[in-house]
Amino acid sequence: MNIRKLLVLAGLGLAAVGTYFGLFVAPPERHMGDVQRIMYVHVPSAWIAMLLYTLAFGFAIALLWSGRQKWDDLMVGAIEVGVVLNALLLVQGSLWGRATWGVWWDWDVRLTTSLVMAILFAGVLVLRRMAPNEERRSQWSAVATVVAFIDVPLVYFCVRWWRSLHQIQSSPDTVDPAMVLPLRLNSFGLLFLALAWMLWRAAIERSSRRASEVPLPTRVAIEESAHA
Amino acid sequence: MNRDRRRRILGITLGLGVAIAAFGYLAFSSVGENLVYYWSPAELRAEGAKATGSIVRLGGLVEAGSISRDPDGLTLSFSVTDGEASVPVLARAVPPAMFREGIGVVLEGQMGSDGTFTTERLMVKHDNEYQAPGEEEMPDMENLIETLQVGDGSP
Amino acid sequence: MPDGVIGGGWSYVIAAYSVTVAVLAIYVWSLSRRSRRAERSQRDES
Repeated sequence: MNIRKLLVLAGLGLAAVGTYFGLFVAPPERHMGDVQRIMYVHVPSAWIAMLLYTLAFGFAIALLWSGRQKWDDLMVGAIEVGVVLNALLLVQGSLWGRATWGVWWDWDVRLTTSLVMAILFAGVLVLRRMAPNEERRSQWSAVATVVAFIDVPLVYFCVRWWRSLHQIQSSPDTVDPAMVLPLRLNSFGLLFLALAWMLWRAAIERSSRRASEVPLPTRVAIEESAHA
Repeated sequence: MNRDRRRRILGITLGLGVAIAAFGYLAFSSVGENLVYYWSPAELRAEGAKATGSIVRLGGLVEAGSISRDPDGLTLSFSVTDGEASVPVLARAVPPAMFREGIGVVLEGQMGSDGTFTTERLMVKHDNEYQAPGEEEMPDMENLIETLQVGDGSP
Repeated sequence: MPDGVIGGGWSYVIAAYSVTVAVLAIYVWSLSRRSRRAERSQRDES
């Protein structure tokens, strides 16, 4: 609880300062003009979504190795927050693409693999709902997460391996220092917020799992008393 | 669920993951030639008559001094180059604001038998340089072509 | 003829930031709703 509060406070603080610098202090890009400011939300969304998916992959391995359900709680947290950021990534990218490339969407490798990534991990969340029991649910999710994760390095490296409309990764060498600062602040801000939400989602999963662990007769009694 | 069964599942899953990744790698790298997102002007020219008629993407740099707008205001003509060959283009499209000499473009359209590429979908390719205005821009042709050639079809 | 610089980009920036803030706010709201429900069901149980 305390760690979560700390993460949220630090995250909000960094993101607020980063957004202020990104919108009002950093210069516009020489060709893209102000549109380039979308970078300060788009790039952190991409980084943190992929980081969360990587964590989910680690939790999936830990779950299958140890069988402890706490890894399932963390795994669902990482995936859910990852999918939210992944969806945002696609919308932000579409807006940025319309303004710079001239199109909302094109089937280039970076865009396609990013969309596939969102669909695969959203699929893991859907799969969870179909499992007959808790043990199956955690196992199915872990196996599906490992398989879905294959796309994550592909998203990162595809622009280096294949031709694309999307540019390759920028680096501090290719980005004006006045633009690197808000990018860093927002990235760390979003990182802390995302970790806080992941832990929060994991806590929800844990308590709802405990609630469903109550033996059936007791549950029926609870529900009856609730209706009375 | 006992430990052994769980760890067998872990082993199978990781094996499956590696297998899919390896299969994907092989599939992509061997058909990489056919999977190119866009053709360079030189590649398109090398294809000759085979490339005419079908919808393909052409990627390259807008050649300096080649841009002209037809009097009807609807058609834009320019040449796309990769430093080796260049292809004349007729674009019936409103160009994105960033369209200019020397910038990378990806065009979806058809190669005509007269060697002119016709397109209605003109996309501007941005590189990974983000700089403040005012810093003198050097039209570094070599660097631009290099960014264009990232991904030659084989990982 | 475009001069190679995007003008009027702010509308895209505002759209991107608004969607980001709105979606994240909805997600936090959904977390707090689910969290309260989970706490309630745990309290009922004891």
